[in-house]
Amino acid sequence: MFANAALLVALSRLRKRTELLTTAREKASLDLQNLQQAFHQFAPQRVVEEVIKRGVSTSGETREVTVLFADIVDFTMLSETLDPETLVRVLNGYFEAACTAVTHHGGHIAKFLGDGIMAIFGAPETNPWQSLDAVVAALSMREAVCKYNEELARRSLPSLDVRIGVHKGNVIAGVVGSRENLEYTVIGDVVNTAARIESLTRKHGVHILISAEVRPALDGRFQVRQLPPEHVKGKAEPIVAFAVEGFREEFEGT
Amino acid sequence: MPDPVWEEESTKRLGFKSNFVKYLTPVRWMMEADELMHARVTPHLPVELAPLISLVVAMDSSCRHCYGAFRSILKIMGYSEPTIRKLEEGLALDELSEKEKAALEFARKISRAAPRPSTAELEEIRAAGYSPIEIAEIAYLAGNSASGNRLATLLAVPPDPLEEVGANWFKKWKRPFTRKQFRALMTPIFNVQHPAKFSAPGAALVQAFDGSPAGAALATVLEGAWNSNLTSKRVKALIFGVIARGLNCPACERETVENLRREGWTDAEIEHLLTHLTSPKLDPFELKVLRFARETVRYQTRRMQELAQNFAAGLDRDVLLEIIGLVSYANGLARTSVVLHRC
Repeated sequence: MFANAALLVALSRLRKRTELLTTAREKASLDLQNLQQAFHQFAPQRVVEEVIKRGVSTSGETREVTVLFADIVDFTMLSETLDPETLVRVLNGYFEAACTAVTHHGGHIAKFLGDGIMAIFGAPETNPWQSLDAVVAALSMREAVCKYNEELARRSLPSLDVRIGVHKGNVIAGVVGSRENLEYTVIGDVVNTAARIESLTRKHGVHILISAEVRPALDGRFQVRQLPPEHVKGKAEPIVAFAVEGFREEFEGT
Repeated sequence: MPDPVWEEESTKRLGFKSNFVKYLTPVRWMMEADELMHARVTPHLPVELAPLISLVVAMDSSCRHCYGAFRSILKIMGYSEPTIRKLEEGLALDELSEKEKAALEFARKISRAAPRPSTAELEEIRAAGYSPIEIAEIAYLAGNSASGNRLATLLAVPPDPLEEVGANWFKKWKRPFTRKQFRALMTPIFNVQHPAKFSAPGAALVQAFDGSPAGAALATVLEGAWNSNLTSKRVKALIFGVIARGLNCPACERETVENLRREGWTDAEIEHLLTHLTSPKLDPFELKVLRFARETVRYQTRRMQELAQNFAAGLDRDVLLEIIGLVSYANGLARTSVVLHRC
């Protein structure tokens, strides 16, 4: 009788332990799944594998991508008026809002450059709608910053304004850096041109500028205005850019 | 409505109660597709290769359900825990031959499709010693796994009881019997019947499987999906088209163009639709389906489940299930179509 009771208790404990172990295993498996997902967003899976196996990657490839540059207007002035702690908090809130807009539209954040963001569409994964996605992401970024400004106003902080440049073309994509500091990035004239287009927003007094290479990706839903050609640093030919002002009224919310 | 008879048959066939089955039973063609997915219609390949391919694809997709299931199948088939762990860590495994490793690598490329395998990569797998029919069967398995991963993720199917295969002494003791049942399930099937009439898109793909029962399996799924009344042919063509464009498969796209032309679309309208992902000809439901389909091309588990939840709002359950089935199989088929050399 006593032996049976002891056996039952032991069995019940064993069952509880098995249940605990099963729960722990499922949690570990979910954590692993999330980790894999996060890791694979860093670079193409095959590049990640090469880095894991060899510590470095030698694979670079030519890819057609769309590059988006975003910058906060008058950031230097802002940084002079806010104490460092508030400035970092404001900046992080901005990055959170802007980067969510980028990733929700299939983009990848390649770099933070001070207050600037460089995002890539079309790499690591190929994407035939990369330019369309980049422009929609740019519009979403501006919308997200507008919402963030409401929060800043409630905390009596100055509002932010963001300007964006988008350009498309062939780049070399790959993992570069030293063994300790690796990053997946894109290199080429397209990156410089995208940055120059972003800087042209000041000159034209607009918020989103796209290049002639990006323009065909936009149909009649978008309000687009062609601007006069402008010379930029490092380019022999003037750049023809287009201002994207939003969706046409009848397509708002589509 | 769920079909208890079908569920019971499936349990008898598989040897365990699959969580998948009760999710799929309301849509007939999806039930049949699920049955074919479990059948061994790739007789030209060694029996072990199927779960190995499914495991690596599920790992790539981070599909919790499929990953757990195929891990368990490998255990049932006699693979030890350390061997499976080594497999998970990489493919540099002594237990695998160079030929097997090449097959797994090729399957991964198909599943990732970022970009989809090139003609040179098809040449590589040929050089590893695979015949065209074997390559087609590898592509079939990889495409099938890519479909299954999407189905499980979009439907948020919980892990199968199959995972409990070694959970206690009784299940461990039962393992040889489970293995026997699985071996029976893995007996090659050569006599899959081609549908009497084939009107669905994908004729060229089915043709590429000439000599393998996988072709008849593909044809059955395609024909069932195409002729289901839950969604219109136009919606189906839109789904196939957008996924074909997303995966850069010109052969699949050509078929969509043909079908949309039959629905009265001009070439310019089709090109506009596939370039800009919109058209004044689309109603709000079609637009919603089109955008949802596009998001399933790339695999991010959490994002995909969020999208499925948003997409489900206000939709009839069976229609939702069919659309999830269509986008999942379209992703698998467009990946499988790497066997069509003109892609």
